[in-house]
Parts: sequence; C-alpha cells; structure tokens
Amino acid sequence: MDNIVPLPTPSCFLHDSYIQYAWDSTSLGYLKTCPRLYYYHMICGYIAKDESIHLRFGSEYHSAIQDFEIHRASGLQFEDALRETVRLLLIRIKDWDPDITTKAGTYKNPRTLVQLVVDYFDNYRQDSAKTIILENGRPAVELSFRFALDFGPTGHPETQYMLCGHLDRVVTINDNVFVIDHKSTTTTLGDYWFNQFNPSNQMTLYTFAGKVVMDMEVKGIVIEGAQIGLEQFTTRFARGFTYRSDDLIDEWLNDLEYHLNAAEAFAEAGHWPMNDMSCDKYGGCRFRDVCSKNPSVREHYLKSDFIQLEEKDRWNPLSVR
Amino acid sequence: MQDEVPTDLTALMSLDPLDLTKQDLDRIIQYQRKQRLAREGGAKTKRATSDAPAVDIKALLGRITSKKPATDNLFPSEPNKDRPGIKPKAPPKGFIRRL
Repeated sequence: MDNIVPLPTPSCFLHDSYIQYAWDSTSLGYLKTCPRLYYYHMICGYIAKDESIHLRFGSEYHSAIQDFEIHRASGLQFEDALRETVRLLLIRIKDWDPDITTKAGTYKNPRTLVQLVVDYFDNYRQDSAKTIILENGRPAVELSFRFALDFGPTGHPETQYMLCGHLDRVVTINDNVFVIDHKSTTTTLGDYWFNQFNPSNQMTLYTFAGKVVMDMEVKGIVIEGAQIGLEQFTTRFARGFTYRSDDLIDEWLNDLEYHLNAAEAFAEAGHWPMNDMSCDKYGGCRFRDVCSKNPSVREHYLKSDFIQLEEKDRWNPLSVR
Repeated sequence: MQDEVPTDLTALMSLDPLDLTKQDLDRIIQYQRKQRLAREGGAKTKRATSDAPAVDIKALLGRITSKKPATDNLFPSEPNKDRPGIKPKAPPKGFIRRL
C-alpha cells in the first residue's frame, strides 16, 4: 500500500488550449470580476506574495472544522473532539512558518490559528445548526462536488463544462437544510459585509450544488463569518442567511452559459481584456498596481511583487482536498 | 484538564506535536480560553511579533530604489510559452453566441 502514488490532478483546461472546462466559484469569480484578473491567476499562475499565508490559514481553519465534526460524529464529547482537533491541527502546521513581519503574517500564523479554532468551537458549543449525517455515517462536511452541465465549449461539442467545488458543511436549522460556508475577514460583521453575498456567484452556485449533491431541498447558504481583529488578535463570529429560489438558480445557470462562451472567446483570441471598473472593488484588486503600468513594463512588476506558481501548484478546480 | 494554565504558549507550541500529551493539549486550549477572557475583559494580550519591528524600512527603501523597469515588451495576455501548441489568434468579431 505504501507504493501507491496519487495520480496527478488533471488540468482544468482542454488539451493544448486555454479553454477551461472545469469551473469552480473562484475561477468563475475571477472571470466575472475581470478577465485580466482571471488571466493573471488562472492562466499565468501569479499569486501575491502574502496570498499563500491567507490560503494556508483558511485551508487549515476549514480542515479543523472538518476534523471536529468527524470526531463528534464518531461519538467523542466536545472537549475530547476539540483536543483531537487541535492535535491534528498542530501536526499539520508543524512546519508552517509564515513570515510574521508581513502584515498577513502578524495576524495569520500558527498561534492565531489555534486561537481562532478554539474560539470558534467555544462560540458554537450550543449550536442550533445540526450537521447532517450521510448514509455512510460520515458528517456532511467538506463535501466535494463535480457535475457536468448540459453544454460545453462551442468549438468542442464533444466536451461538457463541469462545475466543481467544496461545500464546507450541510446542516439542518429548524428542519430546513442549509449549506454553511466559512469566511474569515477583518471587516466588521454587519449588514454591509453580509449584503455582498446576495447576489453572489459563489452562494448561488453552492445552493445549486447543495441541491444536486444532497438531493434535498436546500434553502440557501449560511455565511459563517469569523471576524479577526488586527491590532491585537481578537475574534468575533456571526451568521448571515442568504436564500436562492429555483428561479434565481435557473437565471444564474442561463447567464453562466454567456459567461463561459465569453471565456472561450477570450481563450481562442489569446486575449483577456481588462475590466477597469473592478479595480477598486473589495479594497482594491491585488493586480491594480500592475495594470496601471505601461504594458511594456508589467512583467517586471509581476516578477517582483508576485510569485508565479508552477503549473502543478496553480489553482485547479479539479484539485481534491 | 489541569488547573494551572501556562503563561507562555511558545514552549508548548514548539514541542513536537506528535509528542504532545493530552495534558499538553488541554493546557494549550486553556491558554487560548484564558487569553480570550483577558481580551474580553479589556486586557492587552501578547502579540506574535513581540519585539521585532513590523516592517523593515531600510529593506523596503532598498527594494524601491533598486527597481528598474524592464525593457522587454510584454503583452499582458501573451500566451504561456511553456504550454505547447497554442498560438494567439486575432480576436473574433464579438463573442460566440450559442443561444
């Protein structure tokens, strides 16, 4: 058994092309926000230097929640499940050594991660949301989904587009089924922050995916916000609900076909145009400084301020967690 | 669970996680809870960065002054040269519409 080597994750692009056939909310979000942002991330593989810290912190936070739910479903009491969750977390992050002189590293590091995890479980110790237990006995956490759409790239009729992703957790609240999605932020968890999720590409996709994966009437998404204080590490948690009717999901799917047709056209042209109306959104695009430079010198700024990942390490909707 | 809560997490977190005992893990969790109570009570808690300066100004200045724009031309959507077989084509007139 020790000789088993996992197969490499297949590319999300059609062979010898930049036509992406497997999409998740992240890549689709890039495309919708700005084709040039999509190009830099998905085609070129550039990430900001501190982005790996955010990705690792978020990934470990998600994994800890998954571990805790699995332990609870196996019958462990709260404190025992928490202890085992922290143990696994510390083992995974043993060699994680983020640069704590960077802004991201000051509030996203092993110590603050453990703090966030303990605070989170203590906060939701008495929780009205009950994790659904699947037929195989496992809790419905970190559910990966992949399914084909009934259309594909216009130039490749033999291929169907796929939607992929991961549902953090599926729960019942007062007998209604919801998908929970975890978000960490430094923004105050008020109406302003929660309103960004309606309409929302990710939340509509996840409601749709929840219906497909669970074969249940999923009402919508519970956004579980974890607010992290910057000055000294503080945490605050709040939940917001966002609902999607079948009509809204149908509309989203119809629009999706137009967006993916556009993505195919960009790939065929080898050109991903800049949407200069998105540059200041969400506190400013990370590539804004690059795009503001003359095209002839952009590569210099990309090379100095960003990391270009190897192809195998780039964001891939087909990657398994 | 032990009653005595450590005042410094560093020693515990620096141990090999595989060697951590149940008591060690409980102490880590207790430490975090104590920190939270202290924060909620308005006390200032220890930051991870301790005495280190948050930003190395000299290094930053060095980086800025050493920047020289590249002279080679880069079209922002130049295809990845490592990917075989693809050649950029002239943009089509408008998008492909299937609907």
